[in-house]
Amino acid sequence: MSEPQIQLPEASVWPLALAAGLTLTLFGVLTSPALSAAGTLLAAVALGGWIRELRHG
Amino acid sequence: MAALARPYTGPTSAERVGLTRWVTTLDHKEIGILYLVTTAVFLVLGGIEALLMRLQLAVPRAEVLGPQAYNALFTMHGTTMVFLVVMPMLLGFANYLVPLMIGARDMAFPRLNALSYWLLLFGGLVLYFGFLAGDAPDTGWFSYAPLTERPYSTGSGVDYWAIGLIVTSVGTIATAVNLLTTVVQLRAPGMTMLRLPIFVWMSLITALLILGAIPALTAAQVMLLFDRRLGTHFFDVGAGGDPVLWQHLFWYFGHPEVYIMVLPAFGMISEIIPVFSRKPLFGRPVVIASGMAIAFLSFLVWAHHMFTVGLGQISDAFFGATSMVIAIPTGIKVFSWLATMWGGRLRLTTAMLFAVGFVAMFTIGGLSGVHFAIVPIDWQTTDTYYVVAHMHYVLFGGTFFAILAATYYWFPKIAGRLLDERLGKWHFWLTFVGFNLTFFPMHLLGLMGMPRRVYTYPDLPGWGPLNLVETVGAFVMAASMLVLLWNLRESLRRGQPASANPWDAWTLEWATSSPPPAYNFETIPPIRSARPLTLTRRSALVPDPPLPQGETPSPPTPCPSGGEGAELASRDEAKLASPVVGMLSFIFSEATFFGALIVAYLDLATASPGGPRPSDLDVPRTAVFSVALFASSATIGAAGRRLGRDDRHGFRLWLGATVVLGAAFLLGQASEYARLYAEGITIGRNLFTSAFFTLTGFHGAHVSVGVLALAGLLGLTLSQPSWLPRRAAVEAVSLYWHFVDAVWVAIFSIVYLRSLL
Repeated sequence: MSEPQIQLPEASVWPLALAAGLTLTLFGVLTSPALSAAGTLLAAVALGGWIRELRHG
Repeated sequence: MAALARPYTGPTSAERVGLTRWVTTLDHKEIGILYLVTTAVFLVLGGIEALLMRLQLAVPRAEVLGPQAYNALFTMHGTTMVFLVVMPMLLGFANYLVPLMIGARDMAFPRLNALSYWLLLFGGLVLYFGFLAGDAPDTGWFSYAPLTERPYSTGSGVDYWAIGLIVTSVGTIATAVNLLTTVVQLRAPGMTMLRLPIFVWMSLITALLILGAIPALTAAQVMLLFDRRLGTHFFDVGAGGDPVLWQHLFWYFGHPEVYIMVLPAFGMISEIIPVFSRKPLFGRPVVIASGMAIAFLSFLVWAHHMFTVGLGQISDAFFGATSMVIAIPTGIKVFSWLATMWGGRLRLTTAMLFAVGFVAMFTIGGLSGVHFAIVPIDWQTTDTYYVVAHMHYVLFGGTFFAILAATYYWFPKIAGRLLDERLGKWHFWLTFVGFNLTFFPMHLLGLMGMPRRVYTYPDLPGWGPLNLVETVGAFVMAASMLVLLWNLRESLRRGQPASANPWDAWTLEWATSSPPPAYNFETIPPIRSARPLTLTRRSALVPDPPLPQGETPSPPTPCPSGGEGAELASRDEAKLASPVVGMLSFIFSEATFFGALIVAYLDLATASPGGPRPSDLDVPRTAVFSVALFASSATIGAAGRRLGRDDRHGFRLWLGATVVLGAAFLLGQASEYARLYAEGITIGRNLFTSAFFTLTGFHGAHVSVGVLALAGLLGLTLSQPSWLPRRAAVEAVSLYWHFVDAVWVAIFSIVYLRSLL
């Protein structure tokens, strides 16, 4: 019987995207509501991607 | 080493090249390197800021910098060094080393680990954006109110400071959750808690400190931002606000923060000194226990930073006593390192030189720290250069010397090449001399009464020469850093290749190649002591204790894997799953955050001379929608039980009920807010409304996140009937939900029921 293979998580861009989204959301509070909106959108997309990876990983 | 037990076929670091490798990596070692490189860049920035200040102070009445620029520089220097250099650099080492030292393949939550790093970087960029855009924070690294309030700080520098640090703090808290879960859940078989390396122990204790301390700062920064942006009055003296509350919250965070920056350094030194003394650490269990004692006591000493506020004799006596007591466990560690070296076969490598330098310099910083526990001495020396000398002996002579020792010690493991020892010794002696030239005279200047944070000084006897010596010392230190940079560059290019264990060390990270493969270990050696490599190295000078009679050595074992939601690969006896441990850690930090908001409410709610007051709240109406929230704890519990029985229909039904009850609570809260706003009771009206809306609003935000998460989960189970979430994940979400309910029990009692009295 063959040994099971070592499982390591695959590389992912979603942590970077989520961090950028969260930061942009807060940065927009000081600068422009449009940045906050873009940041929120980016964070939501990143969170979706993150969850999708977890479910299929 | 045994042959590869379970072949790894995923991409290696070498196969993922360029920027993509670094921006998408989830490997704890690569993330650790990102931390170290990023914090090194911030170290250069913070160092340049210090050099500019020293140029200004080189002679009396110099005009290199104006007062505004000087204020911005000391603010950015302190903030950078604490939040963007020392603390994250230590976490970077922990990131790289802890999984290796406990025999794991990665951190418990690799994606969360990457998120933490990116939040550090982006938070730092926000902070420096304000600085470079000409809107620098200039209120000092502890940003006392009311200086930070709108009337006194009209630009956006304070806002950038607060938001930048909130972003980095979220990342730091996530790292603490990850470290704690990793150590609790992913230890290799045989790696009992008492066998953990001291660095891992200190990282674990540091994680607990982070969870218990940093959210208090975050809460204070939220209140400050609300004051500045939403017109609340937490620290607004004119409206009856309490600037001393800022000091309490800041130092409740600030003093444990000192130990967050020192305990991992203790851990590093406790690894390095035994290896280069060829002796086990003296009094190992006591060193661990003293670390715990320091962590506990660090939450009881914060007001020694506030003796000049005038808190009263009882308060001063209490905090003076606790501040003296905390020196005892710290002193125990110093004696342990000395006793380890005593009679040992010392090898004075660069790492060991820095470690010995650490013991000496940290002891001086510790002794001057005890002086501040003596209230009259504190009164006399507060805000003088004596304080600056003390904190730099602790954080530079202490922590940073330990970081440099760790750099020389673990660089071969990280880079696969040894650092040049000749350059290393130049580096050490230049640092040692430069450091003492810079900071020792500050003791004298402080006792002479020279105030810190003032951009210039009069030509009083002795002040000019001592300041000039300090400036020369600062540039000697800068030169020493150039030697280090040259050493790093040359050693990376053509340094002597490092074997797996170039120092004949005993901990697990030295059992794998230098640098380690993506999967860390092929197999883990048998672990039956705190120094597992003595079993496999015949050259070890101090053998492991013999096996008890009749016991046979355990064979090499596979090591536990990381991965979000990963169950333990090899610890069948574990009772809790990783998501549950992670959630419990997170809840600890959340409890600190809400605790700070509740303290603010209790301090301020009844301090306004006029209305609105707590008695304006409609308690029966709130009680009705509170019942919905309380009931939802029962429904989510029922959902978890149904999932355990594989009852899909029942699970969805109870999950749906929880979503509906949570939404009903939120609707009730929205209607309460609408009624209050219709009556002109807005967040900025007075102290009560400031504290009330902030406290209940943050709770509502937490419920909203919970409802969205549960609704998303329900949607997934409905759209894919064959799919069900893992029990551990649902258990973790349930815990969060119960916590949110428990917080509401506290808020309802303190805010609403108390108003009836």
